[in-house]
Amino acid sequence: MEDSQIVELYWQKNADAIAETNRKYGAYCFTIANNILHSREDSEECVNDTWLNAWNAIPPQKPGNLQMFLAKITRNLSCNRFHARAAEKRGGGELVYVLDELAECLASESDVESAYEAKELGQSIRRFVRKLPERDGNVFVRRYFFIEPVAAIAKRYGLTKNNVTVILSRTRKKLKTYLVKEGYFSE
Amino acid sequence: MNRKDLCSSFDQIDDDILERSEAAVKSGRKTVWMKWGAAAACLCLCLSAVIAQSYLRGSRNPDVPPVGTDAPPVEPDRHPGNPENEGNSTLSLKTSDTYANLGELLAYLSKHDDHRSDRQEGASSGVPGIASDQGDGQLERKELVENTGVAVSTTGEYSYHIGEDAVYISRLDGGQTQNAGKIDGAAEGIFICSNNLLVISQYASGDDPLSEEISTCVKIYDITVPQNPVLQDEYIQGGRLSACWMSGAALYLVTGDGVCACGWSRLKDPAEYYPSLIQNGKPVAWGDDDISILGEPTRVQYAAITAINGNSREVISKNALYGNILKLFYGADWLAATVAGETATARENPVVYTFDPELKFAGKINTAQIMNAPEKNVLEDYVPQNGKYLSIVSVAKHDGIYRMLGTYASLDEAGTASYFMALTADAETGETGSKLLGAESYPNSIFTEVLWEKDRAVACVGTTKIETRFLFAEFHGLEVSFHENELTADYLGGRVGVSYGNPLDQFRTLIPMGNGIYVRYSNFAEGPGGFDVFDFSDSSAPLCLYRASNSLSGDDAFDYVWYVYDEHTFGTLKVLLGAEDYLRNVNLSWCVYTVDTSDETTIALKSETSLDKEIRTYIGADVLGYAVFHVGNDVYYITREMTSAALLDI
Repeated sequence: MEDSQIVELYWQKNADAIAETNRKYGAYCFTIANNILHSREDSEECVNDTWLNAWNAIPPQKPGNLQMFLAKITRNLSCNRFHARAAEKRGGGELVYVLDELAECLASESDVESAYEAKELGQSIRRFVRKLPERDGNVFVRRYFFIEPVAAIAKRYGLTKNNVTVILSRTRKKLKTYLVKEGYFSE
Repeated sequence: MNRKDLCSSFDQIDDDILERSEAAVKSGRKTVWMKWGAAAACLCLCLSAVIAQSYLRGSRNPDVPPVGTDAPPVEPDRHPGNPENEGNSTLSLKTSDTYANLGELLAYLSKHDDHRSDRQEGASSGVPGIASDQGDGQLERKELVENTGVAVSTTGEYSYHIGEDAVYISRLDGGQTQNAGKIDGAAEGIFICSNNLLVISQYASGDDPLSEEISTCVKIYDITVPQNPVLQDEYIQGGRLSACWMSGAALYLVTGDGVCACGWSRLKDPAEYYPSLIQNGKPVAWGDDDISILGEPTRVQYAAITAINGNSREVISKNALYGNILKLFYGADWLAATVAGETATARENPVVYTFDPELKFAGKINTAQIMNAPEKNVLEDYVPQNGKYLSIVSVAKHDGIYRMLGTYASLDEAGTASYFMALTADAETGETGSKLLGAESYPNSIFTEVLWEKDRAVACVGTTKIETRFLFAEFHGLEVSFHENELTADYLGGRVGVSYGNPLDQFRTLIPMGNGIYVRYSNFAEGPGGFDVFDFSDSSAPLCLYRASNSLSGDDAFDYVWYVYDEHTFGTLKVLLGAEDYLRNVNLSWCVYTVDTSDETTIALKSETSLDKEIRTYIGADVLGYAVFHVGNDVYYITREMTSAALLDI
């Protein structure tokens, strides 16, 4: 079923919307969740929560890209669950490594943030990624949005793991410089 | 802000970017530009195209000729000079229609530098492949002196050779030859010009091996007293040595370097992107007048070329070529660079930039225009799409006409049609010629060797690990004709050959004996003494006169370097691995073979003389190098471990 037809089902509050979404994107969202949580049980729960969130969000939203709309929900839910689980000393998953890598882009870490800053940061990231060369951008989002393992990224694009690691390292350095220029912190 | 916030902020990445990453799943096989030839530890980067099925699109109907096969050659839009500017032709010659100077190139690349991680990074990148116009001496090579690792004084009484950690001086006196001194320091090249000895070496500076700077040094010694060289001048040029040769009294030195030009580069000073040359501790200015930007480079990499007068010891000229250089070719009075850039979305067809002996730009040959092909072909994430793909494997020049051999592949919905390609270009008139030969009967073949002769090229075309076939291209002015045959020979691409100081460090399999007779190594017994004999005097009817049936000089050995005494006699240096310790105790012997084509061709081992020289390690045998040279009727040999040349007393 086409995405537009599925979205229409949501708008009609037709329960078939969930079934169709699950059929088309169930495995996809599960992969995103599992990359983060590394747990089948937790990942399945996140996927189910994704459908619930989508049901509640549509309408009024009418996503033009249903796949990415769902991906973002799953990612967000999975990250929240991860952090909650980490607080309970239950660890695992690729996200640990991803967060360590992203720490390189920060001059320092602070738990104090403003909502404004959070929104602005998102826009800055959005602009930064868009300016990247296509291949570097693809590798970067696979790693830091989709939390995909390096080996999987390498296989996806026919690169070596070393290639991917080097691309990510360089791009993180670029991101750090970019964030400094944007004024998020000083060098 | 903390890492968690940063990670969360990725939620705002645009959907099309995310979707793009999903869609960019690798499809089909990535095209690989294979190395040309079976080079051993090579300083050069050699790229070539694989004919036929590398694109895995199937074969097109071979009965349908491609455009251009029999069509008249297409005149290029531009004269290799520039017909639009009839006035000051020097000022009108531009190597790039896009960039006027290095500053403009850097400004563009600071935002668009191609960081393909499958290329070398840092200071060692951008080292182009080098090839001289190989030949059998019939071309205008008598002034061209290759780097062989040995130089003989003008009187013939002394030789200087590159040893393990020094340049050793030998007093040549037949069987009484002995060491007469040395110059400390490892070297890569050595030449003599009148009473001057020119020694080329490399060194690394910097504490961090991951970011060391490589420089190339030329030291010029006065050898009026041969056994007592006196240092006169020293040049240091930044970059790794790519090649060096002499033409007449001029030493040509090529170094390669390349750095990242994007805004995150480690080099903040634009001056750092200019080549550096220092003479006796003082910088030699290298400005925009000494820089040629070739086409539209996708990254900052260059070949810096300096011509030094071996007599006066002064710089004659210099030129840094910035571009996506695939290979450099040179002759006694010319230099050519094949340039073709590639990004994820496009691959350029090669343009051959030519230069005169003063390293001034002399014009460019646009192969795409000659072959009525697009100047850029479309790639999708490096995967070739429909188009016409050209490559240039070898370039030579004779009587003012450039000759090029390469490949041509046409991709369309029906599949891939592949051809061997020969091009000609008159440097004066701009007229061109072309010829294609269908490669259906040469599946997965690459050029492994090209031997340029006066009016033809003899090419070995290899099907990997299966066999080699011979292809002849005859040139008459701008006209070219291919000659096919059914002869086959062993594929020798995997054989490591050490030809002392050969510019490509490439094993030359064909030994020209004269009168069209060639001896060629076979794969027999993994070692020496297996030779085939061919008669190539008639390109349209080449003959195999003799096929090796055994190894004449035994097993467990490798032979490197050959020397032709006369048209019936040649010798090779045989390296025998020790029986007790395979990795050590390597012994050398000199094997002389006779070739008799008078009746039924035979080839026989005439003599094998132990040189009673032990090489400490097998690895050493592979990389130490050997040289064989003659002075008058005396033939000498040298290995890196030896402190003196020695007579081959056979």
